[in-house]
Amino acid sequence: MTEKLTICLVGPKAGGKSSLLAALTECVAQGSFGYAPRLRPAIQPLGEKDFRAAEAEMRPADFLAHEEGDYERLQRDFAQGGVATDTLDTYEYYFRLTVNGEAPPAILTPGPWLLEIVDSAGEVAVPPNGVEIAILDDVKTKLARQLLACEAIVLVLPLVRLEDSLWIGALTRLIDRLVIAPEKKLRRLVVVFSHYERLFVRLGPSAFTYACDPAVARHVLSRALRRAQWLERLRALETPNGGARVRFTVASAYGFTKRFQNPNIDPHQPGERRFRRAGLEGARAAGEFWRPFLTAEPFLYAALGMDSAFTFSFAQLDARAAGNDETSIID
Amino acid sequence: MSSPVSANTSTAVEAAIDIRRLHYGKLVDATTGAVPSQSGYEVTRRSFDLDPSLVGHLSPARLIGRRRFDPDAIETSALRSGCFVARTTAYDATALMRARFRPEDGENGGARRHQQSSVWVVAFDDWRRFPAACLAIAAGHLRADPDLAAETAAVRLAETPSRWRFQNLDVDRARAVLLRDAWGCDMLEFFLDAASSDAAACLDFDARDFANERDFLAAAGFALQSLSSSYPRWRDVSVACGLAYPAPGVCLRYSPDHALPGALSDAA
Ligand SMILES: Nc1nc2c(ncn2[C@@H]2O[C@H](COP(=O)(O)OP(=O)(O)O)[C@@H](O)[C@H]2O)c(=O)[nH]1
Ligand SMILES: [Mg+2]
Repeated sequence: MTEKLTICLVGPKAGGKSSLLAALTECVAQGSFGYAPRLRPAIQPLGEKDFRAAEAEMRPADFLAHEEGDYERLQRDFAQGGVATDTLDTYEYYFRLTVNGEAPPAILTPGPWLLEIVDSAGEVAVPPNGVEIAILDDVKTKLARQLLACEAIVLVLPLVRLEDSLWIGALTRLIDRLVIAPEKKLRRLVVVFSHYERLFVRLGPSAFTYACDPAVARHVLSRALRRAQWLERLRALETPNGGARVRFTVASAYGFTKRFQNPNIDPHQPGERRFRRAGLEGARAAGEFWRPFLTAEPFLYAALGMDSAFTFSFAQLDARAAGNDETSIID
Repeated sequence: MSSPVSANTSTAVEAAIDIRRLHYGKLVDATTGAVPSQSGYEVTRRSFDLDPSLVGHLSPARLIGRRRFDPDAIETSALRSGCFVARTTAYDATALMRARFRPEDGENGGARRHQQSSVWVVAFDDWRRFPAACLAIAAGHLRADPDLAAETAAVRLAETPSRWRFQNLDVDRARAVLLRDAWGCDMLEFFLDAASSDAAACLDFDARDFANERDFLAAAGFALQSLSSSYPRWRDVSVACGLAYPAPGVCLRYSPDHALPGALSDAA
């Protein structure tokens, strides 16, 4: 039976929300996630019309006959270096998720799942202090409504700027408001630390091997939690009144290069860009080396409530923190 | 501030318009042109007496009449300077906008791009009386340049409107110029055809018709100046340059990309 879910992406500006979303389908297609391969998930972007039709169980004749939509445009923008999401609206993207393989009986209705994923500018959910942003008032209201009506939230935080005091206050208030909101539908909240590949830039071609070790991710997450004490407030969501489950994970939209296995950041390009084949333009140029890393995790967990080797609960990270602190291999 | 607009005619009369401003985008560093990490999207400049209820109508997406404004809205040859749109919105206001996407690490950078728009607001009645002047002033002075982080909010958000003086062009004179050239007859015929319907319509020009945007805007100015103030669809009139699709209403559009060899073979 078809199940419909709304997932809201929130987090500070430039945290990597839009990039995470842009890398979602590629990550699923390449199987570059921590779920068992036999789950065989597949995800397909839908136009809003197809989504509404599927929602009403009036399956349109042909999902494949579909012109370039908003999601394809987002992917193209990402391939060309990205566009900062504006604050003039919140932006909805639609997908159909299926699991074609063997799924543990615990989670599943057989699907498919219809996902509505809401992306918005960081300035909307996490407004900077003292800045006048007149165009934006009704957008704030719209996002607040979407946050109360959604089943899952994916909170994207850049691992590299965790102590950025400019947004901690606003994010803390957002969490508090979520916790006390009486009418929310929230069932799952995933905190994803983005830009994960940057931790491994000095490891060259061994980078990927380390990144693929869940124990490394767990170590990084424990440390991140200790640096970001304000995230402790999320525990309130897991009390019986809170009604939601919280998970932590890491991801990299840039990922690690195919074949060479090093972090996919080209030091020779202006700005911070992925490696690309010279002379080629657009998506094809970046596609040759591009293997995003774990960008499917937050969305699959949000949709299925199913853990991967790279999703961790408070309890798992607490246990890790209580154990001996091994010497860090990174940072 | 004032600037003469060339309309060297003996029948010209002295006139003036007030222009109010709204800039949306990100503040930048004056020397590098890069967006400092703490700045995000905001209204970076606003005239102190701009009607707050009007502001929501001045978002780039609304002005181009689409759900959202993204880089695809801008033709390739206009990517650097941005697209231009003039049209009448709510509250008897006419907006003239230039909008584009620029790299966050400076004009020639390679980083993520952000939206930057500059909107001028003139009274609808001024637009209807002095369209040639409005377009000529915009052609020369309306740029989607970001504001500087070093300038205080108190200054940026409390600007006084600027007054522009010019020699106005009268209707007969405009009409005489217009009827000399094929483009003029086309434009006039287009507006006459549109008068008796309420459908959206667009008349396109490209680089074979006009060498550059400024020439096109001068031509569009002549055409609009030659419409009488009783023209029934004045509120629907729009002018666009470098926009990948027609602006809403009765639109004169300059799309230089269409004359590029690539575009021609694509169409084939
Ligand atoms: N190194 C690296 N940079 C990233 C990654 N994901 C996004 N970025 C960059 O981080 C910046 C912000 O990304 P964006 O997705 O626009 O963030 P948003 O504002 O949260 O939507 C952009 O310049 C991206 O190119 C990543 O996985 N690794
Ligand atoms: Mg974004």
